[in-house]
Amino acid sequence: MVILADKAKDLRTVFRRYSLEAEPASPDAVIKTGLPSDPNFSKVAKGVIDGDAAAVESSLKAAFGAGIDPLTAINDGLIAGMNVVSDLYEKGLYYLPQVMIAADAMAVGIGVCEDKLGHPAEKKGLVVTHVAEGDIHDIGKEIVSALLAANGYEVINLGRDVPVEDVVNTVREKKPAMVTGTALMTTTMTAFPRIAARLKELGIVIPFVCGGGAVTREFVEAYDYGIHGVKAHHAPHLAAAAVKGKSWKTIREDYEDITGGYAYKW
Amino acid sequence: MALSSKDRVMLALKGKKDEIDRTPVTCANQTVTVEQMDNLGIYWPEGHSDAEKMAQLGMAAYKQCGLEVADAPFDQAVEAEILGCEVDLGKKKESIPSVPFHGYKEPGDVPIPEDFLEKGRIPTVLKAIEIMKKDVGEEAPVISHTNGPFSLAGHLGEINKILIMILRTPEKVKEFAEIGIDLIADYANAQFDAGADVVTVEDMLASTDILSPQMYDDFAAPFNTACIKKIKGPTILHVCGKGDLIVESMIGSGATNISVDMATDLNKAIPKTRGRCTIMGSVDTIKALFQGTPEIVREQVISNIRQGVDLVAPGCALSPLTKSELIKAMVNASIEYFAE
Ligand code: B12
Ligand SMILES: [Zn+2]
Repeated sequence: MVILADKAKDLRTVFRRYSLEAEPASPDAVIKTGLPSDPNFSKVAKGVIDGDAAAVESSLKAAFGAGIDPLTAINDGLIAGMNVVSDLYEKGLYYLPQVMIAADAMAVGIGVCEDKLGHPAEKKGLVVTHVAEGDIHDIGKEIVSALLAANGYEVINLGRDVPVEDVVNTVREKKPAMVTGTALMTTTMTAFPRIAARLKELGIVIPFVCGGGAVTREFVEAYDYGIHGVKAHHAPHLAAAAVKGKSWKTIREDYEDITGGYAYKW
Repeated sequence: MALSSKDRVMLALKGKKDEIDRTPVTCANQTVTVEQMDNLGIYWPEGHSDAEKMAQLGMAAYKQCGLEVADAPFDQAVEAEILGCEVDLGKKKESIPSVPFHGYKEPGDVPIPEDFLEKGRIPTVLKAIEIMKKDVGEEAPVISHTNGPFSLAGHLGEINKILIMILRTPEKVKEFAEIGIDLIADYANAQFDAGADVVTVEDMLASTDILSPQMYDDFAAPFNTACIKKIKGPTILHVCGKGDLIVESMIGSGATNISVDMATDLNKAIPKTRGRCTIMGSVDTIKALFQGTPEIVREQVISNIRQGVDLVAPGCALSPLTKSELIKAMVNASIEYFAE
């Protein structure tokens, strides 16, 4: 989903328009508290928050000039910015387009950092994402994938309407730390228990985070490996837990702690 | 003299509460279920492309459950298909056609066939409407469906890309949406010519799950308004999701009726519609009609009636796995409520 900025024109006004006018609360307060204090990083983060790829690129170059190394810039600048974006989305101050454009600016920033490094940044771990067989609702999955990538995970995005066997085979071959599924229809979420059962038959044990409109905690916890993914921005936290070697059972039980204490309503 | 479902729905849509015996129970979106298919021995995907099968399935909820509507088509891909998008009709009996297309880069790349009413599945839909009209047209309203212009734009440009364009190249999104104005209006008018009583403009992608209310006003509302103005018969505007912040704009579209999702607060929405349009809603398609019981469905219907909806309807398209028992419970709840 890397789409380069067509125009680096006044994105800020566009953002302000869509976030402020529609909502009584101000995103500025959220941004202020979330921004890193070091100006080198805060400019990078702000570029991500504004979805302004050109600003991300120029502020990264300025940061390199000030002696900041690319890996630190990723963690303290780009990822810090993306965390603010997640927060704004969670609070209803940002809508999907703003998240997508931010993820896009972030991806541009990662590219700039990797160029400077001279090699791809080491990924924190591998995650496979997909939308259930028969289901084409992929907006949530795109966000999940973008947020995972933005947080330094390698993502194999299998797309939408993915047959059970394709998910199973990819997990078998690529050995990810975690696999996710998204389903928005009552008719399609039934693919998840089938995937879990197939993995089990093959002796593969893995956290399988399932989310999307129609999916409920009750449904997901009825099969082994299943963890109910509530919000897209929980995905990187869950992936971190999986990479650390936490079992699907532990992740299921500690969901609230792992995802940062956001109210987990069921 | 007892009213027919058709008269009841048509009067209710026009806000003539005094002339009807009870609140009708209808649907703005697709109503076909696997149970209905099993009873008929007619299935999807054939029911998406064969006019006779489409018509039989479109009448099934009325004939089998008493839901006061005959409808077609059942998917959102008809218009995109004639504009050159790849469409997957699905493999299973509960499969609904989708647009796996990766999107035109430019609005100018979209080929608009001169004789588009003769292309793709449009003749199938029109024929199915004719068949339904002949069969149940005296008793039940034929409600056919089109996309809203923004939703069509979402298929043409691919929604995830359109979302990014909204912030980067908003004019392009508007050009994509403009394509739908005349095309959808012409298609809707052809549906009326074929015998439709009402047309639902389904603007699924304009949901506030996806767009902010301001974006709705910029990229969906003006195009719905322009399109609906050109449609010659009564219309229902349906937008998915939480509609609280866009109800005012939905009403402004000029549609005869607005159909809101269960996530929308009826207590706030209904007063806004008064004297301007009518409103239908909003039995929960998942918690009540799919996972619920007749009792839960009944409670929701009665609560909708008490809140003052002009027509009771599911909040969105029925899941194909909905049980007939629960559709019947929805209809009976209104009948029983007004009998008491
Ligand atoms: C947009 C939309 C469409 C678009 C899809 C475009 C696209 N490329 O995705 C279009 C118009 C094409 C469409 C088509 C259809 N749709 Co639709 N659609 C919607 C709508 C309005 C919004 C869905 C959405 O994108 N939400 C926003 C995203 C971000 O939410 P999300 O995916 O759930 O993700 C969030 C969380 O769940 C979570 N999450 C998701 N996955 C994961 C994974 C992990 C690991 C984690 C941690 C979190 C997580 O993160 C996200 C937010 O933080 C909903 C209505 C609604 N209010 O939900 C109906 C809805 C999903 N659609 C529905 C239906 C019925 C259909 C159709 C069958 C309609 C028809 N008659 O043709 C077709 C389906 C075709 C098919 N084969 O799939 C129904 C499904 C009913 C059901 N539950 O069975 C819904 C619920 C409408 C309704 N109220 O009835 N639709
Ligand atoms: Zn809907």
